[in-house]
Amino acid sequence: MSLRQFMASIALSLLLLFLTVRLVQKGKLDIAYCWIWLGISVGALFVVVRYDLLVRLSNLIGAVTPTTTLFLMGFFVLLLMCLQFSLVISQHRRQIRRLSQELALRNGEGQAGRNGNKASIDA
Amino acid sequence: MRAVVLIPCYRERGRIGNVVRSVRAAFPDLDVVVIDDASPDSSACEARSAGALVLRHGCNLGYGAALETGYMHALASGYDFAVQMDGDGQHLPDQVRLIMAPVLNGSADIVIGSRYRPDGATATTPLRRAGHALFASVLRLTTGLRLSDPTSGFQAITRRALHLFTSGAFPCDYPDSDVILMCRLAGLRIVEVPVRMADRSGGQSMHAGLRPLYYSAKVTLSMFIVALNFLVWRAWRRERTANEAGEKGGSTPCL
Repeated sequence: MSLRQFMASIALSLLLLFLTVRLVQKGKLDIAYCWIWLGISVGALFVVVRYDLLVRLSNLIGAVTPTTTLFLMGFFVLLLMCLQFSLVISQHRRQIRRLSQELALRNGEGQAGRNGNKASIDA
Repeated sequence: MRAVVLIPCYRERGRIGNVVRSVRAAFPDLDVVVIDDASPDSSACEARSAGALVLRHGCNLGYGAALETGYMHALASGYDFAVQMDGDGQHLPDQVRLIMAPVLNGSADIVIGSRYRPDGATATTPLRRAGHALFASVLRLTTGLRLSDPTSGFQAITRRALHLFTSGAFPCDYPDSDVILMCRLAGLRIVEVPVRMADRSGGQSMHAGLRPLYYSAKVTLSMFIVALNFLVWRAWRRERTANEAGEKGGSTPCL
């Protein structure tokens, strides 16, 4: 890795780390969802500092260049993130459904109390 | 027996009022509950003016969630059974007695009103007929249950089934033949009776255009998930029973 490559990678990793911390500090990003971004920025820093480990990993998995390994890792991390967000969205959907149903039932209870129910049929 | 008529509705202005009035005229002793899935039109007001209790969702949640809300209300309010019908006027109030009969005589937990009658008169399209045939075949193969119209939303449901539907197992996204499969696997008694149905009196069906194709794929997947969940649950129950028997020192009972 050339010095310029090294410096650019360090700068980008630090920028992502700074951005994540700043967003959490401003309250725009929940702590619950900041871990993955912190992990990515710290992981990127680690890969830059210990480039030899990336080369070893590339040899291990049979990749021709470390760039291929990085690309694969990035792709896999993005897939995992998509899965996590799908889980979160599904959970929120369930929660919204339950809330909306509870609200409808409570409003209905009030209305039913005013009207009075009959509802009986001879078997 | 206490009973309630559940009518999920979305954008049924001009129709829902007539449906509620005709149900109330045919069955003055039954409560009519309309579950309005956040219609942007005046459906909720129409239903309320016609004398129905209206449960209104704050945002659009879909047909399945509207049904589930109705089931939750029916169970919490202590009804012995519920009749569910569409708000577009397809399900005729004079046919309600037919689907209530097996519930009232205690021979069924779920009664499905089938649009396929012995005299061959049906109100459906070829595409839907193909969908019905597909789901009926899957149900027959998996459970041995012979139904002609497993997608019908015209049903009578006992309290026993309401308990199952409100246990969190109800597939809110696509409640269709997968619900029948779930009920069958849970040991509920399912009966189908032929009924007369009308054409939609207006508005747009949720199964319009090519949606049935997409819908069929989703329901098939949902049926697979229901069957898978059942297998997991049965394995878990078998294991638990075996453990309990082991702790007591007895033999494992055959399920």
